[in-house]
Amino acid sequence: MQDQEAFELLDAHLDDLHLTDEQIEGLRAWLQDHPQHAERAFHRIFLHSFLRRRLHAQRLPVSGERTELVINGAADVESFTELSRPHTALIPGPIRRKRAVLVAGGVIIMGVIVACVWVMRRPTVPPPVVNADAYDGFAYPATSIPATTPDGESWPTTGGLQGLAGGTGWSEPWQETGPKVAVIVDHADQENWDPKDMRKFSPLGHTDAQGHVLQTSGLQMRTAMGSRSLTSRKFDLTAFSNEMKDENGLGKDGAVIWFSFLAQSYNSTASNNRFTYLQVGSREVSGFRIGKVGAAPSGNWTATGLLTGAQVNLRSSAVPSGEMTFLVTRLEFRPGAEDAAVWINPALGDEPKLEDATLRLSVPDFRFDGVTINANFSTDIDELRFGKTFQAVAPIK
Amino acid sequence: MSAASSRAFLARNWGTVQASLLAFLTASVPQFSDAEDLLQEVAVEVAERFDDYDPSRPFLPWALWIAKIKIAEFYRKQQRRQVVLVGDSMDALAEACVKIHEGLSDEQVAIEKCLDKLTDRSREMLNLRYADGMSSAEISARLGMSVQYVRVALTRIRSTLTECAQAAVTTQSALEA
Repeated sequence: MQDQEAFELLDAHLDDLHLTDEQIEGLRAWLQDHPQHAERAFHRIFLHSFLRRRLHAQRLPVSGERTELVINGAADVESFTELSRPHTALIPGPIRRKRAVLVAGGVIIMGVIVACVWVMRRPTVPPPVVNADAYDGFAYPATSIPATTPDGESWPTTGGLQGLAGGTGWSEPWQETGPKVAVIVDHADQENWDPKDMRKFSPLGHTDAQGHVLQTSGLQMRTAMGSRSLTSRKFDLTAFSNEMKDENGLGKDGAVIWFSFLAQSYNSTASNNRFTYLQVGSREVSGFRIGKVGAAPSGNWTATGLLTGAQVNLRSSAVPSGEMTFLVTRLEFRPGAEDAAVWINPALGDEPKLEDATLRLSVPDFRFDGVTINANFSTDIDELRFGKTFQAVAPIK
Repeated sequence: MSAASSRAFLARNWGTVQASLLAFLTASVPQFSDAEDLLQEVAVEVAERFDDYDPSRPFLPWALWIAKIKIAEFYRKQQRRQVVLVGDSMDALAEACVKIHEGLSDEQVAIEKCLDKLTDRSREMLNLRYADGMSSAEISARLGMSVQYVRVALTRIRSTLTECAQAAVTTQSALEA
């Protein structure tokens, strides 16, 4: 089997098209024929897998501006003149015919490659180390929780985070005002996990594609199982610079405030009114909410503005809330509506580009002086940070 | 290894092999959603069996072994699905995965750069296939092209991206040598 045909069959397989027994045997034989075949095939498979992850999280922009990627003398699909020819591997043997080999266009290729390499080799200046203005890694002793039933009936109704005062940049301890309380859990001590509970894999953390690991400490908080916990805490506004605040709180026009946290829900569904979100500002007047919200039935991570009791400009991602996730939000406070951008599992190090944000939405004008974590069902949250820069809220270990 | 350092070790290693494992699963089961579900199952199994893992040995082959077990379970439950890559061909891919795994993060960065250079039409086709999960037939109906055209076009976009990314990685490696 020719390499070209093998790749066409591999693509067809990865596009979930049916292959004949003869094609399957041919592809298997080609893969085992030479180690390099398997390696080249795996590069191709990795491309499929990467494109799925990349585009599922964020579509490619279609701007109207046209650039040309030129390989082996041929531009990509828009310029191909060969496209009317048959797709050889998917046509049974007798009518199969050889495809013309694309002719090399060396000068143009090298231009593109050199340009690519030049862009990729530009030195990266390490960002200055800046601490978050407010931080809680939930470095508290684990809460003693009685054995719980699936409906959460035995979940604690007092204690939990109430009165815990660790971290930095806060003016008061955590307050619990719901019928149940959020608790501190030590993942290493957890036993008897529910088979469907996706959190049993490991404690919350984030490692990007380059192997950079998010700085973490302490244990992690868990919102109430069943209905429900309401956990809140006020900032020490003196910890924040004057350019970030005015007389009404954080969010002075012109300020950019970042915040981040790790999160993972028991599962990915939002059915039965399951929600867990972090909120800054107020529901009654205006604010911003991020997490698993009831208005997004998929249960995927979602962000929304708040205005006089209603959720506005809701944006939902393709990432299920049952997956361990690092969510980073940038709030740009402007005269009038604020601009919110959310990145899910961003690369650590350099500030991510706004055009790469997973979610982007306009949020009604608001100010805030604390954070509320409202939950109706169980979600783990950790490494809560508020700061002036991306690096402040996404420090690398 | 203490419980805390064991957890950190697991989290760190999982983060580095996750993309390769997902690619391996993508090749082994019919649909992306199947692969993503299986990755979650592999993650849980890896965590549960982590006490059995010998940290002096490479993590990825061990995780791939668990992935193969999960793939076998998947096909046992779905006996009517067409099995394309099994046995020696799956082992050949697993060996390839281990061999090229180290370079895949560079390749990922290179692919991202190469995506910027595609035409709008190519980006649109990739969006329909990967962001919207459309089949070739659905894409052809959306764009008013023949199914055959869509299949050929997608294969060429992928070949173009693969060659662009590998050329960039190779050239960069040569410059850094």
